[in-house]
Amino acid sequence: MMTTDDQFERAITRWFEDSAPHRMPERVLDATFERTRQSRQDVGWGTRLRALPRPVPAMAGAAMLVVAMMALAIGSVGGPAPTPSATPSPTPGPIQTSGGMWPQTSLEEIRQAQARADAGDPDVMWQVTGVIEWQLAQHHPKDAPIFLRFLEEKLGWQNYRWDEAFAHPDGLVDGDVVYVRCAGGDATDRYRSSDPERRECAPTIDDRRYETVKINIAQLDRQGPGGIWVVTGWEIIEPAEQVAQPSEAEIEASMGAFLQARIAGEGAEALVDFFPMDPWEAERVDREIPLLYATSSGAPYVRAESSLSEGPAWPSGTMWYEVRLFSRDDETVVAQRFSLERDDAGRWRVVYHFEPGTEDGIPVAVTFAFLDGAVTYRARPPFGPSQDGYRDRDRLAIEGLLPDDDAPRRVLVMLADPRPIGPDCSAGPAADDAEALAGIIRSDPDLDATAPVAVSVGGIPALQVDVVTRGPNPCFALLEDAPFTIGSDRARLILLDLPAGSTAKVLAIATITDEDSFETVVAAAQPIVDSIEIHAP
Amino acid sequence: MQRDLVEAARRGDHRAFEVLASAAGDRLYATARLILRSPDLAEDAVQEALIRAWRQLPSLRDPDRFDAWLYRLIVNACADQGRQSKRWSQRVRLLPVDTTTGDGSASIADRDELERGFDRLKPDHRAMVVLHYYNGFSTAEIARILEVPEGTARSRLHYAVGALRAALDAEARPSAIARDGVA
Repeated sequence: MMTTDDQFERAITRWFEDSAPHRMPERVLDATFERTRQSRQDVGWGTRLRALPRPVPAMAGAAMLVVAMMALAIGSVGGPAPTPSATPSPTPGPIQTSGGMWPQTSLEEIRQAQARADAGDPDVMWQVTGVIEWQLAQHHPKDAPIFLRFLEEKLGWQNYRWDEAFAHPDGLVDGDVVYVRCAGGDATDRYRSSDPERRECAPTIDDRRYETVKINIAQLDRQGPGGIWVVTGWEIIEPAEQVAQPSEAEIEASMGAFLQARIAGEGAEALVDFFPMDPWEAERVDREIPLLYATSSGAPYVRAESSLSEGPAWPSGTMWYEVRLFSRDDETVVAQRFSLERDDAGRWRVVYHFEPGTEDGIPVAVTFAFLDGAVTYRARPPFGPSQDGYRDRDRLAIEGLLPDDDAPRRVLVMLADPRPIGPDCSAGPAADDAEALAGIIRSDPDLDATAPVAVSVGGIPALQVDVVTRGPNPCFALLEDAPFTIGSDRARLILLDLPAGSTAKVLAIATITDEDSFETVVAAAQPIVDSIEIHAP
Repeated sequence: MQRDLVEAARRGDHRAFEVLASAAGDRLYATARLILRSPDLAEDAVQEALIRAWRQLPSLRDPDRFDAWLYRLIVNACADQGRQSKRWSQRVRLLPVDTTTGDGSASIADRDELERGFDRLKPDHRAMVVLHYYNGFSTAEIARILEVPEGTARSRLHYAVGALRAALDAEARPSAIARDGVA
């Protein structure tokens, strides 16, 4: 028997140390990465609300970031040289458009350099350091010395940059990295970015195009740590191009026309595109811009304002606009954000990013569906359906950021025909009705449940039961699939009978959280509960 | 270095994320396996935690909190795995008990009691015990990881340890009664 705290603590620590595995099976990471490589990151409201000023979401790049590469192959040689918008750095020596190995020019020289590097010779150590292979595989140089020295010593470029927007022209192979050459000064006076460095890269060919070089590096002698890197070849390629800014007429024809149509009460749908990533595509009831033509009370708009809040982003030219629409006498103000982006056809288009905005400062609610549409509810950002796996046909978590939280938390769970957890912790059969389910929960000796209180949800009578655990409860859930969360010491359950003919008999609506946060979470969940509507089949 | 990786991963860089995940995998797995007491469930928990990390990385405000955030995700993933099993003790494969007692701090009988007592704990209490006694986090650090007030973390750990000791006492009672000839 362990009798003292010290003995107990030493015993459990030792037990853990002996029991814990030292290595995770490789298959776990393999399976994980297989899924993450096919998975997009969340760009939901919660993220966006905190991300100001924000760049264009990374995943938009492939579809929407326009990085035009000129079809006409020109370089710093051949053909008439366009007039640069700013003075490029002088290029010493004869002009070349391609070249071979550098700084060594043969394998024998490379082997000799490797031997010197192994001996710690500082004159070649720069060829060993700085290359991060996993970044190189993404064609990212991470400013390794070999690239910088090549650009400056071999090509004579003094101002240059690597940028994700220009980094992936067609035809790259392993070890390729693409740089653009910059003239001094800003890209143009109109480009703006939260990152000042991104502005300071004026084009060198004309007012839009940049001299662009593709450099390939490899370890030709010893591979892996300690092996020296050499440039195996380089080539001036088709110039990267920053997107030309829209003219005032183009802005008016896109954003201006869109706002005018909203005031006119028709035609706005044709003037706006939807961002290709909708985090709640499956749950959203209406895929439309809320309050498109009128306020929530039905008042039409009489005027609109828009102001540029971010951008144009270099080099895509994407701009973000804060739009405000006013009803008569400015009684109601609807504020929303849209971007203005150039599409593949070269047109400037208004893009809606599923941010419903605010009405008189209050986030606009969005309607979602659950259980094949038998249940609908409205949630205001930052609350919405969970973006993890907890969003099946018969179970759904609604989550969002609470004040002071760093990540979304579940505030509400809906379960169709939940199976109660019995005293032996096994899941029993689903109850026939809400009253029976409440009785089962109340009879669980591990739970302390209040007497059911009659409430109404969506116009349907329901039973509300508050539950706490009684002592060290060996079970882990109040209901099967009711989520366990750290400190799930208190729950509020609302149980109701679904209309006859529905695909489920009982709906459970649960808030399960720790005691400290209970009131806050319940308060956050209440507007969602109040908005629930039950639809008869 | 890690901050660079986190920021790159936040921008959608898969390779950066994979470097981070590979570095964290073993300790996340060890933590999950101790909490869940099952290799299969622990593997699933690590997968779910890392996938959630990838998807929610843009919401992480402070890259320097990445490690703590990962622990939070693995603890929550363990809880979710527990939710999906019908009963902890029904699905777990008990970990082998080391028969050597080393410095004598835990006898075979104690370890057996620990194992059975630990199996009776709720997952959140298991997590508190593992984070404190295996990962070595103080209650203040656990509070930051789980984003609860420090007093809450302290009281939960106290409760968890008390519940574990109570379970151990309950395990020991029948044998003590038999030994004493009272039954």
